[in-house]
Amino acid sequence: MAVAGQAAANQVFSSAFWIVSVLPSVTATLVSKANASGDQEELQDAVSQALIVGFYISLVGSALMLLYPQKILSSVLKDGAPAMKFAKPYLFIRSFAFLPSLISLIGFSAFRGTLDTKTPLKISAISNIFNAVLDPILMFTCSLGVTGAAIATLAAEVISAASFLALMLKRRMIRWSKILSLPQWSKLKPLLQGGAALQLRNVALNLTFLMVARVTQSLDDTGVAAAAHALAIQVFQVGGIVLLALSVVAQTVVPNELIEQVDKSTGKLRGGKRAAKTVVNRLMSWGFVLGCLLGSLQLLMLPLLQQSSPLLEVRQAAVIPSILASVYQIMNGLVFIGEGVMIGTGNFMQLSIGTVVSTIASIISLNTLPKMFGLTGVWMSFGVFNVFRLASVWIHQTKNGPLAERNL
Amino acid sequence: MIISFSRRIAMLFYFILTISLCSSFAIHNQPLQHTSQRRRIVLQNNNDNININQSVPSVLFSSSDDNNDSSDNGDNIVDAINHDKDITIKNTSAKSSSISSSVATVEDEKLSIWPQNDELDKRMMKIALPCIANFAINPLIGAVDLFWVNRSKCLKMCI
Repeated sequence: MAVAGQAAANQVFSSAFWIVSVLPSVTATLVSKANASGDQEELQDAVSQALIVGFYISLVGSALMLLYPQKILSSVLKDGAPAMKFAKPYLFIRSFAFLPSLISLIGFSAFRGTLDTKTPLKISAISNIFNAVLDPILMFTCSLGVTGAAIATLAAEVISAASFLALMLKRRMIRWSKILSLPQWSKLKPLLQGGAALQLRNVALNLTFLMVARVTQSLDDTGVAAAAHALAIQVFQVGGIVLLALSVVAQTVVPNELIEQVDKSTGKLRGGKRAAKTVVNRLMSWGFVLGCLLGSLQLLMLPLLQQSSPLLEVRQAAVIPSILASVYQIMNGLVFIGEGVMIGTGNFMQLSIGTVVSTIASIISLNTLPKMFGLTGVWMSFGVFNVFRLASVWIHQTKNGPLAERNL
Repeated sequence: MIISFSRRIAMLFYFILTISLCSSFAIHNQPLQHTSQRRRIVLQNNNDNININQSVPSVLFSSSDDNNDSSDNGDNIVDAINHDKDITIKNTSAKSSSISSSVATVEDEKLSIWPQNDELDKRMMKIALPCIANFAINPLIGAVDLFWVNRSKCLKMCI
């Protein structure tokens, strides 16, 4: 019950956090542009505006979780569920972590925008190790149970946020005067416009995942399909993290590269559209190569991953979806990086429209393919979703994007 | 047997379609860089008017990792140029107009679209690897959290 309670509270927290998850993407792009052009003021504005917007959103989020924990938890737990008594105190403590978590996310994106990815890693490693060490102390030595786990997580979040704030101040990426002053519409506009467009994409993505979950649950009453689906997802996630990281790299490297610069020491011109196109092509080929490698690795690891379920029928049902999940990594490498490029070039709306069209195609597939192929049909629908996303990337890179040959 | 022979054939067709779509959609030849081609960069610095025929990729990227603290002292200045005009760029700052070279010819390195383990790849990996590690930490710590919460349940049951 403790695990179920913690999982429910974490799910609610993640879902609430999903609303602000677009902030870091837009911030990283804005920071990257400002950093490449050497405009410290613009960089400070981009980070400060994100922090201000994040602050107000986190105030609302925390207040809702503190005032209506029962109502919010009832979205994932039934009334009277035994896990509720564990979930409520956990969520109460976690709700205080909304602001620190957001500061950490924005801090990470700001550092990423300056192409410094090592500092966030150090901060993340220290705070997470602190969390892991504090967990048993608070849970067992102090006899706080699940509440102790929540306090340890909160403490780690606070440490992470404080470190990011201190380092951003030290490196003059933010100024208190900018954070404490009233935001100006002209400076907020790019953040909010980009954020709104990306939010549309988030809605489409989540709608697809929700539909996949619903169709999978409706395939049988025994839970075999759902368990096999979870197993296939596990296979999929092996390479997903690597490809997602490359997408984040594309988001920050491309805007940085787009800015034309003259190196004073050498007199050489660097950057610009053609240079960015070269970087994008290399990134895309990396996506393809890594997608193939990760897909092959997943196929090789398949027998090992299959051991995670003791039920033979679950393992059998998961075979084809797991193979599909491996094959899709080829596509994912290109899709993730291509979409990262779209964010990097600031084409948020095109990305969102592409995702919406892909969602529509996947929903149509989900209504037809599972009837013919069962769970395999669900994963084939995932394939349809990704093919449409890939088509959107292709259109962006060859037809109407700023780095398409005709627009160079 | 999980699926029938005909469905297997359908699946095979589906795999082939997926791979061919991937390669034809997004891996396209780059017309910009040819191995045998030399590119000339001409910087005609004439009364603050710089005419640029080509640009080269910045394999260094302008990271502020170590440069931020010294950004004001002018040691590591990289001037940004207005990129609204693709070919001819005017009105650069006084600093950029003082570039000593009036005509610079650069022989480009061979830049393939495929990974070469060259300077560009190394720089990208330098950025990507910490990102991958950062993304991997959270599920790991989540698993540690779950381990302790599970253990608390076991302890209670034992007691």
